[in-house]
Amino acid sequence: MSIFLDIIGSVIIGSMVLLMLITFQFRTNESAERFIYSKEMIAHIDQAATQLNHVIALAGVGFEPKDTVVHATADSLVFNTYWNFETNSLELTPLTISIKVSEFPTPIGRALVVLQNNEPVERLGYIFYVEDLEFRYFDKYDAQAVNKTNVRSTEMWITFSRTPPVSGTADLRNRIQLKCYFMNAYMRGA
Amino acid sequence: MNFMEMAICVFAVVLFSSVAMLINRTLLVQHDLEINVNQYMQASHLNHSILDEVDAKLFSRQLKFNNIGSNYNTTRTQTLPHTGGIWVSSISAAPCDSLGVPLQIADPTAIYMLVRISTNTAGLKHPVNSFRVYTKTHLNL
Repeated sequence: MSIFLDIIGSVIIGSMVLLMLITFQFRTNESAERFIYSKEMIAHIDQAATQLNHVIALAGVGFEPKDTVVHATADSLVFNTYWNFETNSLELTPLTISIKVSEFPTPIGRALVVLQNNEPVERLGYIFYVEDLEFRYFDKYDAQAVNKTNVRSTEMWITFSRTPPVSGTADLRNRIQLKCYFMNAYMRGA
Repeated sequence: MNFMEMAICVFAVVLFSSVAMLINRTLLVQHDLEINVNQYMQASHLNHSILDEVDAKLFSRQLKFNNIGSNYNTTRTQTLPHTGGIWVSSISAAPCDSLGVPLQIADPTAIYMLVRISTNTAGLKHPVNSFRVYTKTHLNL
């Protein structure tokens, strides 16, 4: 009888230990995959931030600072420039550049698109996994800009979201807040 | 249960507890790293926005080259509503040579200025440091 009890006890304890190890294995694997995803996302966000800073720095090339911005709202920014972002060169005719989040969701999230005369700038690529984008505008004294003629810098609040590598776990969500200056406007005296 | 069996049981409990703690610790460290990487990137962009601010103000002549030292030897505390947290940037400016090495002896004719920024926030393992060298030109006198 006591041998039976010993065997049953051993089986129960052994099963619990095995279950514990399997759970640990699963969680370690999930954590490692999340970390790899997160690492990719950070590289993606950093690249996106650098690109956006570059685009905004060249806003208004060839225009007076007060004529740079065409349209400045919380969800999109449109500006004039003679700089062609597709060919990375100066043009003879003015171009209109807009930065906004696409309305159409894709399997890899919504895209933040840079449009040049309403055509996406292929060279800059699409910035995917964007959940939300919000602009704040500032004048040359870093106070909140009250109208578009005074806009000299913008703060972008971007939220990136990506479905997790393991289903049933929380989404990977990263937020970044960056300030970009209309360098060309400052070069012309702001 | 004799003494030997009790000792083996205690040994097993200690062993499995150690394994559980080790694995949980590894998971926590990974999660912490994930947060830290995001904070590092935010801090890096904050540093660059301050350095860009110096550039922008020099371009527009809102700031003179000789005033970089008096305006940018300070500490700036920012609350970021979107990312969250309080971020403290220690900014220092000093004359330097063309390679960014600070001058040991003060030179009133120095034409290079090194601006260094070190940003930190709660949870960040190490402060993020960035620097940029600014050159005196006839446009920023």
